[in-house]
This record gives sequence, structure tokens and C-alpha cells, in this order.
Amino acid sequence: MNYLINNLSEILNLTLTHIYITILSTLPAIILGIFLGILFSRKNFITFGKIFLGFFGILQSIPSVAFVALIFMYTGIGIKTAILSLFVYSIVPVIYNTTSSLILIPEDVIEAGKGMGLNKKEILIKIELPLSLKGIFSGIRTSLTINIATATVATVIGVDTLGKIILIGLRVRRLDMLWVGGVIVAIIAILFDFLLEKIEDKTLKWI
Amino acid sequence: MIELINLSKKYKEKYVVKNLNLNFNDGEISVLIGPSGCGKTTTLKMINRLIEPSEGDIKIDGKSIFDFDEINLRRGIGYVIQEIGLFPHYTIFDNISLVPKMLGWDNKKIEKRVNELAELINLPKSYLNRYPKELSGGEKQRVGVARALAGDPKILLMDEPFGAIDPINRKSLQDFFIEIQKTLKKTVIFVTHDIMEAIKLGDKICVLKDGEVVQFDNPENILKNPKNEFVENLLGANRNILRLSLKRGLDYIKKDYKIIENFEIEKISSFSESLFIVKENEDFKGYILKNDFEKGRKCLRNILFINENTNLLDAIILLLNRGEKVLIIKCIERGIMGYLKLDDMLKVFEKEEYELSNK
Repeated sequence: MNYLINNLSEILNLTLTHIYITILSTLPAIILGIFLGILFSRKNFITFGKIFLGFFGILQSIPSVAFVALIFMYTGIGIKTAILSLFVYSIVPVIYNTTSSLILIPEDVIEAGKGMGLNKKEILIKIELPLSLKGIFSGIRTSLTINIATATVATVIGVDTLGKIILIGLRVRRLDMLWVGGVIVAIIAILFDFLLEKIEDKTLKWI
Repeated sequence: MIELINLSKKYKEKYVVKNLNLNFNDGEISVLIGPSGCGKTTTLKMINRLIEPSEGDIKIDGKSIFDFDEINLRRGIGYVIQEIGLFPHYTIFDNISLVPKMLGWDNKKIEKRVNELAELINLPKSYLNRYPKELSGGEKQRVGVARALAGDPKILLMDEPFGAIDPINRKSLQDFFIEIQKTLKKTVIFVTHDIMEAIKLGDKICVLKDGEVVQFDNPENILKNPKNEFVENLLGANRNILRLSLKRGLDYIKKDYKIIENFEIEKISSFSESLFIVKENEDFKGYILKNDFEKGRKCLRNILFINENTNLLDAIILLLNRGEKVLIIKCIERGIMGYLKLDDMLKVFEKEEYELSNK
């Protein structure tokens, strides 16, 4: 507790950086991920989508420390590397959830729309996307949670996130530092997830 | 009029619909029926181009469907499928108003139209803000019909619309549809595999087998003169009973009944009429038959109502299901009109059977 009070301003700074790089990496991952997710659910792109997701799935199975280090070898030290690796890390769940929930929409519903005279774009916007929102949301929540946790690793390439407290705490064997770092990361993750859940409930009244 | 001209559809080299030549008249319900794989749904979907014909043409009022823009063609044709076709993320109002919105109607006109349709399908206004999951199967299906009617299309395509509904609700949906069709006079193409439904609803019935027409005629003729064994089998061994569904209960109505209040029962000593309908305040409590009364059975039997359009077959089935002997015909405008007795209806059947066997 003393540690927390004595270092409040530094912890606050680290927290802000932590949130900052999480958002800066997750937001583009969400936008591009949904776009790719839609693309991969179209008939002509399904096979390509499978290959793409397979490849990125393998990338994701590389431990985050190794992965961040790997990207670092190419792009060097700094915030750019951190954001890039988090971006790659979090885009997969978004694509995957978007594609799979789009593919699972019952054919009848789409055909009903078609039969009523909706064109392809209208079917996507008025029927397919709203009906797969639940899946898309769960992709977003997964990727955000992953990124909030993985952002701690960014410390190894010199971006000071909450990982710094944990890393130093580990080196000097300070249990209180480990606790403070871990708990704050967890609280951020829970808060964001809660926020998204609220948004989701508001949007999905019809379920 | 909808004309199918040398219409065929083949997948790879196999014909699923083969050289159909049919005319569907304006204002009539034409039913397509046959076993699964006979091409009935394929035929239906070619009319609004959900499936592209391989050969031949379809003309609507003389104009080929290929001369229409695909999207505009579909917006001008109502399309009803099984209940799942409602959009779960739209309220009932939004579901019904979808086509009018796409047709660019203004909000006032749309709202008026939706309210009009809600009335037509007997749906309380408060339901318009609900989501489909909050409605029963029968209600959803009625909304499906309303949605298809929203843009006031001349043509309605219905693909087994009542197939997923339980038998009792299906009957009332059929009655409801017959009722609204009387005033709407749409040109309806109706796909089903239920022969009773086909006979009940169809002005014309087209029997399909392996993508070809076996028989195309009105229900009366199909029941009287099935063209071959296939049609006979489709109609089943009881096709004389099925003919009862072409007769309206109203034509066999009896009127020697009296409505009395509950407290009057004890005072009755003899019957002038053969049926007493017993009322307490505004509720109908039951009925007593003269025969039962004279045998000393004075307890009330359950009262069942049908409307003036109910056919004899549905009436008999209802009576058998509920274990009753009498149905009261009650119409919304005129109230109680009279009653039907099971014995009388069975006599109609016997007479029919007799006439047929002596022909």
C-alpha cells in the first residue's frame, strides 16, 4: 500500500500509457478485423480467409514475449513496435468471430430479405451485421482483454507500461509491486469489459 | 396473370423443373403441391428470380420477368416463408414497414399502412413495438403475411407459410388467410405438401411430380377425377372425406335454438327447440341438447364456436378433437347465427359417398 501511495504519479503515468497503447492498437484491429471478417465470409473469399486465419492463428500461438521481441528485431525499439505487435495479436479474434457469426446466420433469413427486394449491401447492413453483432462483440471483448494483458510485455522493448512495475518488482523481489501492477491491469481489463458489455446490452435489446 | 412458358430449371444435367406451361389467374390462390423434390419451391422461387430459370420465360401481365430490374421485381411481389423469415432484430413495426420504406413512402403513409395491417391480422397495436421472439408462432406467421402485404403487391408468393405451426393454429391461420383473401383478391402462388391445406385454400391446384405437371385443375375436379394413380395416392384413400372441406358449414346451419340465462335452466320443463345455449351475463356457459335433456342429463356441455367460413371437414375434426356434438356458428358482425350438429354433417358425407358410388 505504501508503494502505491508513494509512487502515485508514476503509476498513474504508466497506467495512462498502458491504456493509450492498448487503445491505439486495438481500435485499428477492430476496424480492420471487422472489415476482413466480412470479406472472409463472402463466398469467393472463404477459402482465402481460412488460410489467412490459419497463418495468423499460428502467429498467435507464439508466446507474447517472444512475439514482441521478434517484431522488435525488425522495427526496433519504441512505441511503434509495441502497437504493431499488439495489433497483430488482437486482430485474429475479431476476424474470426466476425466471419464465423456471419457464416452462421440462417439462410432463410437472408433469403427472406432477398425475396423482399433488399440488395446485397442492404442485406449486409440491415440483416447480416446486426444479426452477427453478438459474435462481433465477443471478438472485440476478447481482443481487448488480450491486449490489456499483453501490453505489460511492451516493457521489455522499452515502452513503459504497467509491465514495468511487475518487471522491476520481480527483479527486486518486491511482492507489493507485483500486486499493485497485476491488480491494476486486472482492474483495467474488467472495467473495459464491463463497459463493452453495457454497450452490447444497449445494442442487442432484441436478443 | 402469371404465365410460365416452357419453364425449366436444371442443375448440372438434371432437370428439377421440366417444361412447365401454366397460367395463374389474377385474384386466385393457385397451390403447388407434390412430394419433396417435385420442384414446387423451385418453381415458386423462379417467379421472383431467387432462382434463375435455365430455360423458358415467366410473364407477369404480359411482361417478362427478365425485363424487370431484379430488385424492383421483388419489391413488387409479396414473399412469405416459414416463421423464421421475420427479422429478429427488428420490432414488428420495423419488420412490416421494411418494404414500404424501401419503396420510399413517407412516414405518415407507412404508419397508417402498418396500423391498417395490424388491424387486418388482428394484432393488438401494443405488439408493434415488440420483437418477434415475444410473439407466438401463429402471431409471427400472421406478421409474416402482413409484412408481405405491406407494399400492397398484386402478387403473393407463399412457401409453406404455415408448415411450422401446430395443426390447430394452422387451421385458424388458414381460415384467417381465406378471410383476408376475400377482400384483398391477390394473385397467390402457394406451395405446400399438405393436401388438406391445398384443397382448403386453392382455387386451383397444380400437382407436380419430378418437375412436371401431373394435373392442374380446381379442387372439386381433382377430387372427383384424379388423373392417375399418383394423384389418387396424394389424395389418399379418404378423398371423399376431403371433399367435405369444399363445403361451408354455414350451408348446413340449423336455427332451432334458444339462448337462455343460466338461472333459467331449473325452470325448463320441456324443450320447444332442440338446443339451448346457456348464458350468464355476457359469457356463454355451455349448451344442452333436447335429447340429452329428455334422458335426464342436465349438465352443460362445452360450447365451441366456429366462424361462418369454416368448412365441414374442419368442423368435424374440431368436434372429434374436443369430444363435442355441436358447434355454434358465430360471426363477428352478426353474432350467433345458428348451430351445426355432428350427425347432420356425417349425413352429408354419407350422401356424397352414396352418390359417388352410384355414378
